[in-house]
Amino acid sequence: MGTAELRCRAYSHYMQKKDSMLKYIIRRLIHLVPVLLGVTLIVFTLTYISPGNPARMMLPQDSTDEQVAELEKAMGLDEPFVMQYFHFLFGYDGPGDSFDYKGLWALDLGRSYVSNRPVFGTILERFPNTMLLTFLALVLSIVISIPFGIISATRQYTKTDMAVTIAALIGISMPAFWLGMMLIWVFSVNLRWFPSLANPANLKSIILPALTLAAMNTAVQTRMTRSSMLEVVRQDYIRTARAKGVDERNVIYRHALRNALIPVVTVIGLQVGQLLVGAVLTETVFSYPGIGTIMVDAIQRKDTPQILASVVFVALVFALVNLGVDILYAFIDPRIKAQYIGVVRKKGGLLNGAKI
Amino acid sequence: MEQKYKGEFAEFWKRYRRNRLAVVGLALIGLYVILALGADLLYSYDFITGNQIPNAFSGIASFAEVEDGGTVRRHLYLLGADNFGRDVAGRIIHGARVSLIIGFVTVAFAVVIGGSLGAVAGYYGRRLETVIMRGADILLAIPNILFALAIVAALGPSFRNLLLAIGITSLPVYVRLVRASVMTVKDQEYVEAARAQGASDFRIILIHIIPNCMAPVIVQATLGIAQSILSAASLSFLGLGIQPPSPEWGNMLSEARSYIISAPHTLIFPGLAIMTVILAYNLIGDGLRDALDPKLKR
Amino acid sequence: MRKLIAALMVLALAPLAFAAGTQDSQTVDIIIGQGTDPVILDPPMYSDTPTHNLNLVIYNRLFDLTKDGKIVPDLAVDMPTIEENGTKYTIKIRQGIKFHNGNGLNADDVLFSFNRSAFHEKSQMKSIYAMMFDVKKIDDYTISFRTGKFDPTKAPAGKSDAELKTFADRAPYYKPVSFGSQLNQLTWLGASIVDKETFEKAEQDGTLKDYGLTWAVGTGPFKFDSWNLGDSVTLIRNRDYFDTSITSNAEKLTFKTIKDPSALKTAFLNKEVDLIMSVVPLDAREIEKQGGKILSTDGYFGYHYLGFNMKSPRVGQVNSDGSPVTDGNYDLDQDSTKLRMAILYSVNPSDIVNSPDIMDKRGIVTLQYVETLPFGHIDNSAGTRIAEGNTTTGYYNPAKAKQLFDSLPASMKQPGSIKCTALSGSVYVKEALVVKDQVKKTLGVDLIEIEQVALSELATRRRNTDPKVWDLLVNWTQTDDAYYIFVAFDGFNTSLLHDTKFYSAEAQKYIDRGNSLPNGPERNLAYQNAQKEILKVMPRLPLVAMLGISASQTNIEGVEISPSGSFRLRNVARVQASK
Repeated sequence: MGTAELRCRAYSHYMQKKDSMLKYIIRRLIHLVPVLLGVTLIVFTLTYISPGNPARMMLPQDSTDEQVAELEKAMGLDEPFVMQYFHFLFGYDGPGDSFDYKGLWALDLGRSYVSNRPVFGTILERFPNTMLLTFLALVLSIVISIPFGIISATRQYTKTDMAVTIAALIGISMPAFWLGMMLIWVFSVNLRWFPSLANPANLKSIILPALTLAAMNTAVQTRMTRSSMLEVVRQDYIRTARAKGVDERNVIYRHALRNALIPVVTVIGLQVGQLLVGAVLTETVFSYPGIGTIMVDAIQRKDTPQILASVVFVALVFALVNLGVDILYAFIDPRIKAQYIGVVRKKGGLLNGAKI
Repeated sequence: MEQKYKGEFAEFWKRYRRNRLAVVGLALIGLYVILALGADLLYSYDFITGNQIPNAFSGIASFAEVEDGGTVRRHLYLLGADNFGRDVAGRIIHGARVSLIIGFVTVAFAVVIGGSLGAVAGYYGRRLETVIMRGADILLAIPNILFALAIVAALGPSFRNLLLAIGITSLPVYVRLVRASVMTVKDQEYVEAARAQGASDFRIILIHIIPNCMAPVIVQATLGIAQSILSAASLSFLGLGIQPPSPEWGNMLSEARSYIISAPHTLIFPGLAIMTVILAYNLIGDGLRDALDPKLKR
Repeated sequence: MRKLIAALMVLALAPLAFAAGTQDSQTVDIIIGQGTDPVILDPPMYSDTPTHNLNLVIYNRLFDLTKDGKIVPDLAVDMPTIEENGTKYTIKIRQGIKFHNGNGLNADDVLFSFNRSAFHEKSQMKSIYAMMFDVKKIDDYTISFRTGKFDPTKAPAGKSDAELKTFADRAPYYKPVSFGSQLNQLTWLGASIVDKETFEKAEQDGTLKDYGLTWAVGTGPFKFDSWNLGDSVTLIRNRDYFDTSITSNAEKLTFKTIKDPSALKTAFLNKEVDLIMSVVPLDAREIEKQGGKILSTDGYFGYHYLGFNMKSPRVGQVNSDGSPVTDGNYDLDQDSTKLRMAILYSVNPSDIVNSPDIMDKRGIVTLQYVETLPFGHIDNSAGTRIAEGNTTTGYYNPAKAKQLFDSLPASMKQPGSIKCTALSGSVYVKEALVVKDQVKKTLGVDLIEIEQVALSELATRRRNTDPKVWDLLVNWTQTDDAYYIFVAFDGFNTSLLHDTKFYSAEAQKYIDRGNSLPNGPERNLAYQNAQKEILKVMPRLPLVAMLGISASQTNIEGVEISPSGSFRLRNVARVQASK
């Protein structure tokens, strides 16, 4: 959506000026540091201002105020905001050993108030599950969207095109959590083809959540492929090819597709981050053990370190994935740079409404 | 002057009308607005939030005795009843009101605040711009739904916090959008002329610059409404949005989830409602973009 | 490009091929579906029902509480010898018992376990040991301890009970007091026995921090095998279990976490899961229809009530300066009293019982435990025992409610002015919604606003009866039906919400007294008095008594449900179909 467009514009700024790839990467990384710091500060502040005293929540209900104060001290909660934020980033060494942690930079924010597990241990253990789901969704969305986009574009204004266009429109308008429940209703409850619970050990069970997660992206990419194809087909070299008598199949698959897919591929890259975030709701619907369920659980139980860690982690991964994708594209194909700027300027709107 | 605007509008409408789907979208939203405005005439709020426990899970298009405003009457459950025997159709219609308000308020908030910040950043440039744009960068770096989730989790679930969370998360897009437009407009001759005449900065931004960069904002805002409605429904679905018994689509779905086997109708219709509204806004957004941006004429 | 697409297609379809192969084994693997992950398999650190279910079969206690609520020896040879006016306990421990790792169990392990549960920084079960001191090893298989209370007169000034960090430290400052429930509390999960040697070794090699998360060592009939985070915990049979009378034929117990209740139910109906608990009544109907087995708790599983915050100027009783009246003399002419009464007469609990969504008739309206005074004079104020409860309409009397309400000034009739707290996402929220709706219908004003809060927050609120935060509260408590009381330390429930954890200094005096007496009429009187004190702070309108419902597939036998509602799975077995 707009985010992608704007991000691209900001980056293009750099792209136009610099010449060396390395310089570009370094600049991007430096640019990322204050952004990431800002993200951590916002998330930390939100947790800080949230009502409820963690020390009191951890203690049995019959504890005295002195015991609460003692525990607050042990947890470092009596210190001023700035110090607590500093601890959050660089570690905390309290009077006891139970509440020490090494800080965000070392991926250690201590242990969960509820389960007593290291919060990042839980996250890192479950993150591969989320990655698996995201990967499957990504593959599904590509496999479905590109052929349909092409078919739709090559048969513009036919019934097929109309059907694909409308399906894609519905796809971008459907809340993922509702789609997931509808799939459960049809395929688990009524047909009993798939289990209603998803679990990384049973790949069959991940099909429904992967479809759910992929739906939005599939729709976006289908629309993108279609319009990109239409754009390319009108260009001179295609006309030339046609004029030269190259048969239509060859025109489409040899000449047009190759160029039409460049912006599509770029968009796919940018959507990896969106998929990761979308997994939060999808996982909840299918009780899938990933990052999303950790987060929602932690929020429901007011497990502050776990909330902090999972929100910051997803935000960081999101930022890094997007950065990685940008750099990768610039690296693989400098041509993309030009395409990128041009296409996104004009067509960025196609991604609108795609974000959830 | 007025004549000119009229002409412009007619021209715009002509272009907009060409996109049949966009017209369908407009009609759909029109329908929802009418339903939302007339919600109280169709079903009283007390009736659709009040329990009719003996009628719990009544099926689609079933009749049952209900107590409404102290009297007992026969009632048609058009789309069936939910776990408290409340009318699903009525709740959807009242929920439309909530969703439309959320969409409008959050986007208005984001456009006004984000737009002003963007205009200021674009117009003045320099350090102010750096500060504002870095701030926007940071907000953009946190995925929308995640950010909204974190805000509501921190502040506690309530209608106000929900609006705030969604408003804040959709804000940075407008900052960047307006800034970019302002930067292209601000060196144009008519702005220079106004400046030479001694117009204040505020006046220049308000009268000369803003109206000239409205087109992309309007398109983005239309799509933003769809986005806000979806976010609100998602948060309510996770129990972090509007609290029962207030009718809101996401929270209806959240409750209905437990009855997927015994009462699927409670799950299907609120979801359809969310989908059609978002679809309609997306269609309008597409149509507006094509109509407002002559460069993109097919 | 086409090749690429083909390759991607294969990638996407590969999972389907994988999925085709299913595992089929001969061993009996029983799958228990639970709504949340267990938290930690380290008994004193946390206890909710899902965790409880696992810890009950991994560990043993010295004594066991049977499903009928009887105390029997478990790791102990016999019931303890109790001397010196009930303040000194001597317990003999069974010989030849082995932990899952092969280490033998002896008195040192028991002492170690007690010490750890009583004084560990993160222990949630300190209360079990709050009155124990002078815990001693007599010989390798005998221990003794005393019960008592901290005596400030014996301690130097400034010394507090909290500073005493071992049982031995307590000895000089404690005076012997008998505690009637001590034995009962030693059957609680927090009194589970762990292996000292293993712990000391783990302390050195640094694996102790993960105790209960990636490993656990007990003596129970099943031992810890693996934990697949967020998905399942697997226990396997302990072939060397000392009690050979157990009848389970299960080789493996898999506790599967399924967060969404509808998914849990779907999984059960698909026979993906053998046992589920906390079945929503509505689902029970569906399960019975589709051929599952419904298991209920033996008795009514506590009762639900609507509590009034007496410090609130709206529904409580306060002096003109806003300070709460705590002497228990109710001014029946105060506006707030009338509002209280109006609410009482507006509520018809039979709606809760009859709602297919809440109880679906698997429970009863109970009139029990109403203190008449805060509500004026009510007919049948003594209430009925739960067993005699009825399905009528409670105290419902809309005409009277309306009449009382109409006499109130407009300032008391503001919509949304009464704040009601309920545990988020629970059945109590649904009950609160029923109450809210009934009050609105009867009184004509939507008085009540519901706020959903997390468990810890609810517990805090109930304790700090802050009138700015809440006026009403929908909650649950265990009861002793035989004596009309809910304050009883013999309760098996340590839940934060239980009334033995309701703190007011006055009530505590009576609770202490009850605790120091042996079972009998005097003890009950003390608890009854404590209950009266609690009701002064929070009088309550009883709503319903509910059965705990679980379900199993028809071929599962031997599942017991403990009085606290958790599974006792030591005898769980799958009956092989005889063909």
